[in-house]
Amino acid sequence: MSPAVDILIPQMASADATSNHTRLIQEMLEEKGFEVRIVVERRTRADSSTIPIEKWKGDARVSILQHSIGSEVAQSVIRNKSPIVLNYHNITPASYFQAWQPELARSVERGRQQLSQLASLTRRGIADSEFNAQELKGLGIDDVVVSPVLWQLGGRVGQPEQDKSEVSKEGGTVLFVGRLAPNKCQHDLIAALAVLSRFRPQSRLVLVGDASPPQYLLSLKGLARRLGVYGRVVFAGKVSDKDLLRWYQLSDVLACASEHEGFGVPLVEAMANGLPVVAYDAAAVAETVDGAGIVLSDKRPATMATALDRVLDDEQLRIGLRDRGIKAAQRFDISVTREQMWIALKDLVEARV
Amino acid sequence: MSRPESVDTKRVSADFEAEADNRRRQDSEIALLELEIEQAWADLSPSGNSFDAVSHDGHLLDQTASLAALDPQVPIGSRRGLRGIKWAIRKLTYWYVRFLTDQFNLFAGVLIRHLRNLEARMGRLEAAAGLPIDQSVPAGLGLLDDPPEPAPEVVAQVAGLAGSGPCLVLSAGQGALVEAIGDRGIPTHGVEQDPDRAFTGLSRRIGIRTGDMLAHLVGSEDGEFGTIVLAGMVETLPLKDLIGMINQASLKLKSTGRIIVAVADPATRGQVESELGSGLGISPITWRHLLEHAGFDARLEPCANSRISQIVVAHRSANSSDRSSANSSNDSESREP
Repeated sequence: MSPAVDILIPQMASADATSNHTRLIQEMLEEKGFEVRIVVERRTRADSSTIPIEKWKGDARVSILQHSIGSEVAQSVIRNKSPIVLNYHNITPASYFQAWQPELARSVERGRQQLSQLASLTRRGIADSEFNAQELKGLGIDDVVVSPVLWQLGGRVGQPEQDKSEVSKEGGTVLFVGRLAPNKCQHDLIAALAVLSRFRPQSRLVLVGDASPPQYLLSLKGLARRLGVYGRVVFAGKVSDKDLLRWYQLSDVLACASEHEGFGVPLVEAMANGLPVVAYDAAAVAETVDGAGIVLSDKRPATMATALDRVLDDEQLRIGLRDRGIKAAQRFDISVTREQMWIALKDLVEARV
Repeated sequence: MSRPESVDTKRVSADFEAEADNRRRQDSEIALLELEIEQAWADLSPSGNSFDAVSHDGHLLDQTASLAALDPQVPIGSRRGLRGIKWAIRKLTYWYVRFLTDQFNLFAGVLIRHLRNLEARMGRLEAAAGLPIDQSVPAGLGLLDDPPEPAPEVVAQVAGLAGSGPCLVLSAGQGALVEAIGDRGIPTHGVEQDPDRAFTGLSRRIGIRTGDMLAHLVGSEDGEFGTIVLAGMVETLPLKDLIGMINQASLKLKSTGRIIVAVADPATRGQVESELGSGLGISPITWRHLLEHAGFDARLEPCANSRISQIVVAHRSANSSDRSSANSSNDSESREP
């Protein structure tokens, strides 16, 4: 007998946002009594319950495709002309990777080409943000629902420190969490640190996340050396949830200079941890922050540095941002987002064939 | 801001942007710095001219990471023959070699953890049995890789010996030395490899960075520090690393700077530690010899501590600049065709 729902994803990996999102959708639907299969392009030993795309027949009541990069699973959908629910997490424009890692650029370019071809097969689009939804609508998909990515904030949110008010006049810890990638623009944060150092000589920048492409990390280190701030940039790499929580708690402000964010999980995690946010207004950043952080229309080094300096300097402002951030992050609590996802899928999975 | 909840973030953001423009107008150095940053990034990013140089400028591990990075998302290709070969390579790499490596690393990690737990339990049993602690491996020492935090008397004495700033403490642990030297008004920061220890210090707002101490030293500016303190894990490094560290510290030290070494003498280790740590660490007298060889005037200061009985203090010797300039001139001569 065919299952109610198939979820198609290139690979189920641990510590991967889209994989976790997929698992949570599976859990939710199974709790509601639907049989769910996960269909992958590459199986791992750890996920033996998945089925390979070669065996997928497209006979489930609903097939949900997780789409964020060019993949063989998307190609199979196109080849079989199977109607799908397109869960779109956005695809970083290839231009960001072209000069750094041409293979990755080709892969994301392929994802965008597949997106155009998937539009005509899409029964419903589910977008993480209004920004992503607009892109789907631009492709001619009329039925688009906004439902944020599902993830368990639990392990990454601690008790916000009520007394975390004092920041030394000379210092301050600025945090960014996310892959070290050209579209995330960590080089702009190092540039901002170089200017911030004029006002706060002991300030430092913590960059959490692994490098993709690796050459970008080398250039970041080169930039930090050349600007004389290498000793004050912490390249923390990929960290466990426990260490990530500690970085959130130890930092004074989260800065984001990213030019392309389909959603922005770290922005929400920072707000949930009571960390003030200073971000550049690009893609889905402003709607994720939703007025609870400082959103700048200009990210030149002196602008970012001035905003960071002022936030570090003004205790009342930090308290205000902390309170608003905690409130804003509640919109993305798993209990809320699960319900949104259920509403987005309910009529389709309950429909009788 | 009168009431926190009344923060108008749009207005505040606009105010900050206006203030940044004012700073640019009033301080020409900021505007110049922005131009310099722009140029630096143009040089370092792939569209610039020197990207190839940067690619090979990183540490060996960075380069290895770069070489090992395979992208599983790359399209597999369209020609049947090539497609088959590429598919086989990918399958071999991701399903077998990488899987096996991951499993082996996992197994090794679990094994090490269990051995350490076993060792810690034995230590606790010994303590419960009333055996003197110096007859066994100290709690938490593991396989000689985790010296204890410096005792208060060591901290006080090292702080008193620190010279001008900025001061760098290598293997800063939880930051007691950084804090004590900083309290004397000397700008100080530390580097600690163990994230747990570093986090303990960071949570007390002590200036500690996590990371490799030698890499941090290499990444610092030449002549940046007035004082460099070597402590903690330094006592468990092999001679080759210690010499490398002294050479790097010498480069990063101001001409009037000093190096302070506050580590235990390997001769004071118990039998087990001595065997485990054979060839690791050197005595204070050897430290003095190496520092003198590197152009410092070094002396030994007695310390009233059971582990660290002597602290080595090294200043630039009066003729070291002559010696180093003589060396460099010899070097340059030797490079001449």
